[in-house]
Amino acid sequence: MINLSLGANIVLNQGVINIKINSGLPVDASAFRLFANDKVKDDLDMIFYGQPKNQDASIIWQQTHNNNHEFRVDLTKLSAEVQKIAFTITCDQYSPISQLKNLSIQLDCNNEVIALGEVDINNRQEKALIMGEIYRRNTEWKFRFIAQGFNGGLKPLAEHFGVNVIDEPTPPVPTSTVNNTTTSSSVNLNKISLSKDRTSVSLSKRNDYGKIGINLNWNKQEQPTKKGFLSEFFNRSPNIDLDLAAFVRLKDQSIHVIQALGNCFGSFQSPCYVELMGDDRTGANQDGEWIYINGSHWNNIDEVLIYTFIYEGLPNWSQADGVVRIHVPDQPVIETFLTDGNNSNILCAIARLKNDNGAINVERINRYFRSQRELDYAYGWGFRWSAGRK
Amino acid sequence: MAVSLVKGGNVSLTKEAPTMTVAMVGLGWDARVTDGQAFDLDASLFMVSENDKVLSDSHFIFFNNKTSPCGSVEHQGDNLTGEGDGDDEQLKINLTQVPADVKKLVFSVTIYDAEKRKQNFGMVSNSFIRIFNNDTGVEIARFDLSEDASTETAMIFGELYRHGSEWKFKAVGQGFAGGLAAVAANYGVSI
Repeated sequence: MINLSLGANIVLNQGVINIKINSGLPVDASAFRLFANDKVKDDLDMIFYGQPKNQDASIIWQQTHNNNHEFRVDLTKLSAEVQKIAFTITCDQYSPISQLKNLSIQLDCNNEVIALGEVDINNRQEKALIMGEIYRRNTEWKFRFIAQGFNGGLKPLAEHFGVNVIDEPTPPVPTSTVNNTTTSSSVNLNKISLSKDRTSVSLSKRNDYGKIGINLNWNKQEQPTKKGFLSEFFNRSPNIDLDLAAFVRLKDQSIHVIQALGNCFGSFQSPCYVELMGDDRTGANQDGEWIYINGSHWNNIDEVLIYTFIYEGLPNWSQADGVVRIHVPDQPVIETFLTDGNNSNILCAIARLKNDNGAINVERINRYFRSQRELDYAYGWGFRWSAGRK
Repeated sequence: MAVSLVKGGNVSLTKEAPTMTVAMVGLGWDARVTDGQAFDLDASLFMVSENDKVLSDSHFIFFNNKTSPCGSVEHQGDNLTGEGDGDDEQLKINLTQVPADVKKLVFSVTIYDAEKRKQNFGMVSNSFIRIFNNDTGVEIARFDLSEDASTETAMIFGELYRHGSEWKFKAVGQGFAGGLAAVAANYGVSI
């Protein structure tokens, strides 16, 4: 492995490279596919949480942990016009860069570390950083460790790559977002973070909200690749199984529980119009767990309360590092982090979506409870509970 | 097409640029677009004698001493940011007027205040140093600093030296710790 100093470059002999960005605290990571003059051509050239994969699958983003992003780059799939791919981070919650615990970019190939660039974050005032870039040099691909950026954050960074940023403050109006069918070259880079300071957001009233996706993702513990059959006896599995679940109240005042426990998966097409997709028991599914709300029937729904609970594994919220993202079509992603968890409580009420005269009001809750029953009482839903096992 | 030089490679100017009377050394780089202190690269020249030391302090041509006592070497001006296309700094050498006791012209490129600003060539976009025949514009040798000297802050680019009656160019491409002061001291300039 090569330790890269700032500005240093290396030749890439491999076709597929995994670029890992680790930050110690949450940051957003994006890759920009650049053409002549180091500019993007259109929206498809940005790979990030809102567009994890581009059309030729040459770059694929995934968040392996709140603080870890990974881009899988297949150099053999890149078109001949592509000159560079820049890998960037922006700080939102912890800003500027000097507030992070650490920051590095690592290149892996076939699970082997090729190179590592560690940023000295002391006194760094930037809110957005170009971590490094893969670029053409004569007939080769090379990588350079850059760590230069912009004090103004995402906007100057995006503009540097030729992306027009909509200067719309949140809450947003439905405008062009990253969408394969849009012809506009403007990208709405807004993401709404619900935190202690900002606990709710209202989405403007619409007839049809489409398919509303709620995603829970958490720290995927690395599974040892080889394991003796006795190891299960000696080592308690470090894996945490988080279940995503919801209480749903329809306009007719009927109440429903959506959770894997008890096989209450619900239904997207018929009442209660909320469905839990599968159940990720292992955490191996990088995509986490999903609940979909049928936004075409929002007028039949009164409230959806989203919660998660630790089904298996140690109740350690900081280790689980959960993040919930609410995707409403044509709207910025709304996200909230499961922080401040008390480890004696296994359940976290995350957020509720309330029907506010046809609009959706999303309210962050982030309260921890010992059981579904306790949560039920706290918010006055009125279920009857018995112990269960999936 | 310029000769892409490896360290220590020699170019005979009588072969590569037989008619050259005026040589030009060009240094170029892109202005910084990210936030932080500007990149200020400096080209300098040392007129040295047989013993590899400058004839006098005034034979060290740099941003504060732009012309040699004999007038054969002229620094065309100090660019502080890299703003502009092509060469950002140039040194013009009239080979026919270089005094006979000057055996070598040594070219260096350094980053101003590199240590304090925590900069190296690799952080500067498209930085290069080249030598070309000013009469024809034909390039003789070139170093891409961003690529091939990326972790350096100061470098000896190359030397023009006398070989019998002709001038030859030798690419050195050797990094140097300690910036311009260290390079100058190495060639006997009192700092």
